[in-house]
Order: sequence, then structure tokens, then C-alpha cells
Amino acid sequence: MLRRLITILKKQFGFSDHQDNNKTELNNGGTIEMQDKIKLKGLSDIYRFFRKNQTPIYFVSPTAYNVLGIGQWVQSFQYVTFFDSFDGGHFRIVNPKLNSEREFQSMEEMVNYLLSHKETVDLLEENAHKCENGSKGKLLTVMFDEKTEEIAASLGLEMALPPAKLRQHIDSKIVTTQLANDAGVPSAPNLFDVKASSYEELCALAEKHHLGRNLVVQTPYGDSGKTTFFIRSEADWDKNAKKIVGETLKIMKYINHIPGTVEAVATRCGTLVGPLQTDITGYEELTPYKGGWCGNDIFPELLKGKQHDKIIAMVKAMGDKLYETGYRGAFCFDYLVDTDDGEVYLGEINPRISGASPLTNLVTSKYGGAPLILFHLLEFMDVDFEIDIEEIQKRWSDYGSWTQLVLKHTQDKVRMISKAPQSGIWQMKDDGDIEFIRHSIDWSNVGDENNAFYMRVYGEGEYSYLGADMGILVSCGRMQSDDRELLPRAHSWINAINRQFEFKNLEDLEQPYIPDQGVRKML
Amino acid sequence: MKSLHFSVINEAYPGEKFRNLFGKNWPAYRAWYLDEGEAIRPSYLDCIQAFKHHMPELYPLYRDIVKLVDGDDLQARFLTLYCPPPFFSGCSQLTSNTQTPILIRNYDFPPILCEGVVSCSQWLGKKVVAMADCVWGALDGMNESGLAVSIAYGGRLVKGEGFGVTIVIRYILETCATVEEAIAVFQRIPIHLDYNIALIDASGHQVTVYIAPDREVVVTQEQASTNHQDPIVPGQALFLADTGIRLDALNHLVLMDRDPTQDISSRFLYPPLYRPHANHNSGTLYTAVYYPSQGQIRYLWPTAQININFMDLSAATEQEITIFYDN
Repeated sequence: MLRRLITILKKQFGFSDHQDNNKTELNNGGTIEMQDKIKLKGLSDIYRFFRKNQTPIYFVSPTAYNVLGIGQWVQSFQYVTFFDSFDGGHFRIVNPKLNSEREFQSMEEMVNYLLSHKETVDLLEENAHKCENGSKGKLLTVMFDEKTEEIAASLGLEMALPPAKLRQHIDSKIVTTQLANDAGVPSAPNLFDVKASSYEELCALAEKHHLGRNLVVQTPYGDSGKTTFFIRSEADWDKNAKKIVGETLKIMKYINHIPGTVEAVATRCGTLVGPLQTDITGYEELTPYKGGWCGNDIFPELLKGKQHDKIIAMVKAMGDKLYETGYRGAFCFDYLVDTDDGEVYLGEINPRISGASPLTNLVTSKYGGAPLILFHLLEFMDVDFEIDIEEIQKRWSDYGSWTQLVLKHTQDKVRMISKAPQSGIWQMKDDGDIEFIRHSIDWSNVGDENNAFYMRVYGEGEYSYLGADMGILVSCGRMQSDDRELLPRAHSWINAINRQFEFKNLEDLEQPYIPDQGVRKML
Repeated sequence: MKSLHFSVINEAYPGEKFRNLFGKNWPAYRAWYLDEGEAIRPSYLDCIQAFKHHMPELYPLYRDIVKLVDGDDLQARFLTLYCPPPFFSGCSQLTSNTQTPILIRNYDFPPILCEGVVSCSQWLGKKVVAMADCVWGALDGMNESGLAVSIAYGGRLVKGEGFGVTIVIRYILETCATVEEAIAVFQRIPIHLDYNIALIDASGHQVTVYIAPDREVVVTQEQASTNHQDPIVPGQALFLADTGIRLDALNHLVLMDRDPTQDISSRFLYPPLYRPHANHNSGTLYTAVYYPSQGQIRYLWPTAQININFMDLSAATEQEITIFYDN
């Protein structure tokens, strides 16, 4: 009985880091000696903690893809998504229904819509009794803004993410470069925090810092595709001058390079770094956008030895630096490998859960027994922990190859989808066609290279349009060669999935809603 | 020929009858609510927060109603009437306590946009009779304490953040007993358009209150109001051109009311107060007459009337009538 009372008291007082006295006054004036504050030590404690977790954790996003599968590790984990990729076949997903037409202008707007929806508010009410510290639970998402934070606060939800303001600050390429410099993390030869109002001025700046005439110019914010300019001539400058003049710039020497990504989590115990990935970009079978992101792959042979170790050390240093600034949890580190001299550099930081998260979590859980995102969550749970970063990271040093492909609609034609491949495990047959073999709510049933998990985004009755994220394919094995060519099996899978779609041409009178660019990027 | 079916419905607490009314009216309200797109309407969370904050006594009833109609996100947002699309109507209204306290009003609107439902209820303890709008809001009505209220659009075409006025009228009928209490509500709750409100209670205390999202509430002793708030300036466009003529007619009636042999309510059935549908897009749909000290209500038409007495509200109160309007 006394033990139970102590437990209840502990729950009520929530024992923050700053609470260092071990006695708590009771209403009747007596005191009870408190047990030591619980501290999770090592993986077994962490597994148990999440297995028994009662605090609802809501992942709110257009699709569940970024953290798909985490529900298997974390009790009381709930996906709230716009797209019903599983046709009701996923027991942890709620899809608040849009009861009319609406054009979302950005992912943040969609997240804010989902959070304010009646079905979400009702769900929070239903789960309210599970919460221990008076909050309604935790909120996890990919894209969010200060409005999201306001909504979360009014719902009684705690953000399981660093503040939007801090993220926005770090997201600036200028700030990132400065932080990286402070952490001793090299960027490609550059100068930053400068302005240029003419091509001559740009060249003069570049010359002074020995950057040559082949330049990459970036403005502080935005997707790299839209705010990165390749300037080799005055003509290139003239073409982009409008977007450059007046902005604070980062000017880099152009290097021949291979781009890659690695996801990491900054924690109080140090920074955990996931496996290195290469980017899959720009294939016209997958994306209509030149240089557009269309997936990643992970394979053990990638950058063995010095380069590998150096990148890992860079990511760790960057993560620790971010933690110093107040940033906690997942971030994604884009690296560049100079193919001329083998140097490795920081490309940019995405301070959020990202498109690299799914493969990271797949590999770290399948081969290392603990998805990386778990440590992100841990940082935001009301519990103290102590982990040996090196020891945990070692667990995913040996793993198999995996690929994710994001299939965008590549035809500039708006049509209604009359048939779409369903989410689950598909099998490649000898004749190059594929067959649906079983329903699955994630990729854990993918057995061999003839299997793939397909997660549908757009389904029957919805519209396809140029650039729509139609679905994502996850398979073991590689889909891209070392020379950055799609392998034949990639072509087979892409063609076979595309053959599963059927479309209906639109009557002139039908006016479907075509999302704005801002929300087209669903992942 | 235009027509409107009126029914008096008596249901103490929202149940089967309420659900049917909601089901019947929702398609039209949905179209209206989505008139400017879904994104422009506040989210469910914003709606319920505003509702809980401003009309907490009504919130449990709101929850019950949403549950009763199995309301989805959009329906639940609509039912709060928080920041709905604009709606304008023409009206004439008059209060008087010269002989016995009375509130008379004409409601002018296209017949197709009026529910035609007189709702007799006892949702929060008080018996209330009201002309329904947005299913549970009220265009005018009276409660058993003898507080009577009606609205006329103010005609200034300003728009602000606030509630559709008819839910606030409902709130007043459910929670207030006197004019003083009702004025306090208007001073407290934001309303999204400008309105002229006629109020009278059983003691004969009568006021006309002018509200607008961009102005302080103005409480006056005026007895009559139509569809303008500011003095009419010659040559300046008005929301309804005849608003001045009708106000003059009402003010004339106020003087006539001192003669105990006159029944001024019948004057509402003739132009200029009565707006024939042949000449006006928003013609007069009904005349409501509330007698706060006697607990009596009359709804009048040139060829028909409905009488309701608070003393004997029962199933027998329920009646139906179809009114045909002149073309």
C-alpha cells in the first residue's frame, strides 16, 4: 500500500531534473522518503520503458511513412495521418476525414489541420486518462511551425521535438555552416554571410577566397533544389540574379561529388549516428524534377574505412554542437564526397525527422535491435537515461542492403485513379510482373530481393498529377549501381508498380484539387 | 407562388425531432458553410475553444447535440456558429411598454432560406420558444422568465471574428432572465456582423442594442429599429433602400401605441413594414409578437396566425401551416 502511494506521488510530482530533495510534504504534514529517481540504464531498461509506456505519442503527418513500424516498439503510439494508406488495415492509424474540398498550401498547414480536427480532438479525449502528468501526451511530426506549437499547447500536448524557432534558426545554411565550423566540421571550400549585387562582385569574392569560377551559391532557407544556384558564367548569374541579390549568401566552390545522407540523434549522452545512405536522385522514371530526390539506399560496402569513420565523426561533432545550442533529437546530415580527391564535407543539415528516417529505422531495428528514433523519443519522455552511445551504435555495424524508392507521378496529366496497388508485400515473378502476396503494415515481412513492401499514398478515387507522391517501395538489395545508374531490377519494379495503376480521364467539367508545390512533398 | 411551411415543434431536450430537423436542413447549411471554401472556416479546435470560453453553460448541450446527430468535423464546426459565412436579412422590429410589454418584429428573407420552425424546448431548465435558425440558434424568441429578443441586420457590411448572432440569441434565451443580463452578454461575446437587437423583459424594461464587430456596444432607449445603424446620409447607398421608410413607419406606430384602442401588430402585415415578395428579394416571412408579461406569443400572417402560451406548452402545441406568399 505504501509502495503504491509512493508511486502515485511520484507520478503526480513528475520529478524533474531540478527536483533534488528526496522528501515530499504530504497534506497531513508527514513526509515519505522517496526512492531514487528512476534512471533507465541500457537497452533492456529502454525496451521495457517503451513496452510499458502509457503516455500517448501521436505522430501527425500526411502519411505514416517516416516512422512506420515504431508502433511495434512503443506502447500507446498512434499515427494520425491524412492518407489512409492501409484501407483501415492498420490498427494504430486514425485518418481524420476532410468532409469537403480543400487546398493545403504546405505540409505544416496539413499537420495543423489534422491536429485541430474533431476526430483528433476526440481521440485525445479518449486517451486522456492514460496520461500521468496532466498532459494529453506527446506530439511527433515531420514538418511543423509555431502555429503547430500553439495548437499542441491548447490541446495539452507536449512537443516531442525541439522548438520551431530553434529549428528555423538552425535550418539557415549560414547558421549551419557557422555551427559546423565551430564544431570543426568541414564544409566544401566556401565563404558565407556575404552579399553580392553583381556577377563581378561575386567573382571578386570568390577569387579572394580561392573558390575559382565554378560556383555554387545558396540562399539561407528552403529546399536545396530551389535555393541552390550553379553559377559558371555571367549568363548563369543573370538567370538567377533576382533570387540572389539582396540575400545573405553562402558561396561554395563547385566540387564533383557523390551526395549522401545520414540520420543521427543528438542526446544528453552524445550523438547516435545511423548508417550512411546514398541519395537516389533525378531518375526520370521516378521524378519529373531534375535532380529531385527519389529515395535512398543503404549498403554495407558504402565508404568503408577512413572516409566512413570521418563522416561518422563529423556527424557526431555536429550533433553534439546542436545539442549545445539546445537542439535535441533527430536530424539529418547531408554529406558530400569529393570524387576528385576523396575529401568528405558537410552538405547541409535538416533539423527534423526526414525521408532518411525510414531506412535508418529499418536497418537499426532489423540488424541492431533498436530503431534510432527510439532515442529521439527517449530524449522527450519524462525519464532520465544513461546509454553507452558507442556500444549501441556498434550494434548496427553489420547489416544488409536496402533501398527505398519514392514513386512520383511523372506524367503531366491530371487523371482520376481508378485502381491503385495496395499497401503490403509484393512479389516479383519470373516474367517481370508482380503479385500482391500479403497485407502488411510495414516492411518487416520483406524476405528477399524478390519481395518489396509498397506503401500506397494516393488510392482509388483520388487524382494523379505531375509530381504527386504516388507511393513508396522498400526492398532489400540495391536498386542503384555504384556509378549511379538504376539497376535492371529497379526498372522492373517501377514498371510493374506503374502497371498496377489504372486511370480514368477527366471530363472537362471536373475540377479536381491539385495540391500546391509546398505540399507535394509528402515525406 | 412562393411558399414556406411552418411547424411548431415541442421537444424538451434534443432527441428524435431535433435529429430529423438537422438532417433535413444540413445539406443547405453545408453548402452555405462551404460557400467560401472549407479552409476559411475556423478549425474544430478553434470553434470549440471559442464556444467553451464564451458560452460555457451551453457547451454540454452542444456536446449532446453533436453526439445526437453523429456530427462529423464539419457539422460540429458549423454547429458552434463560430465565424460562419456572412448572412444578411431585412427586418423591422419594435418594442413597447406603453400598455403592456410587447416586442413585434417582421422577419424578411427569401422563403427558401428560412427553416420555418418554431422550437419549444426546455434545454437548460428554462422553457424557451424561438424561431429557429441554424437548427439550434434563434432569430427571435422568448423564455419563461419573460425575456424577449429579436435581431435585425445592421446593414454596415463589416465583418469580424465572432459568433453568428443567432447562437448568441439562443444563449441569451437559455441563460438570461432580464434585459440587463442580456446586455452584459452582448458586451462580452464577439459577434461577427453588425446587428440591431430589440430586447424587452417581463418588467417592461426595453432597449435597442446596436452591436458591431468594430464598435463598442451601444445601448439605447429607442423602441424601433430596421436595417441601418448610422444616420442615413442622402445619396449614400444603404443595405436596403427602404430601411428609412420602415423606421419612420415604426416610429409612427410608437406614437399610435399610446392609444389603447389600437392593435399595432396588425400594421406589420401591411407595407411599408410588410415587404411583399413580388417587390422584394427578401420579403416578409412572418410577424412575431411576444408578450413578455403574459407569456404569450403570436406568429402572424395576413391570412393565418399561430398562438402559443407558455402556460400550456405541450405536445398539443405542435402544429403546422403552409404560408403562400404573394408573387
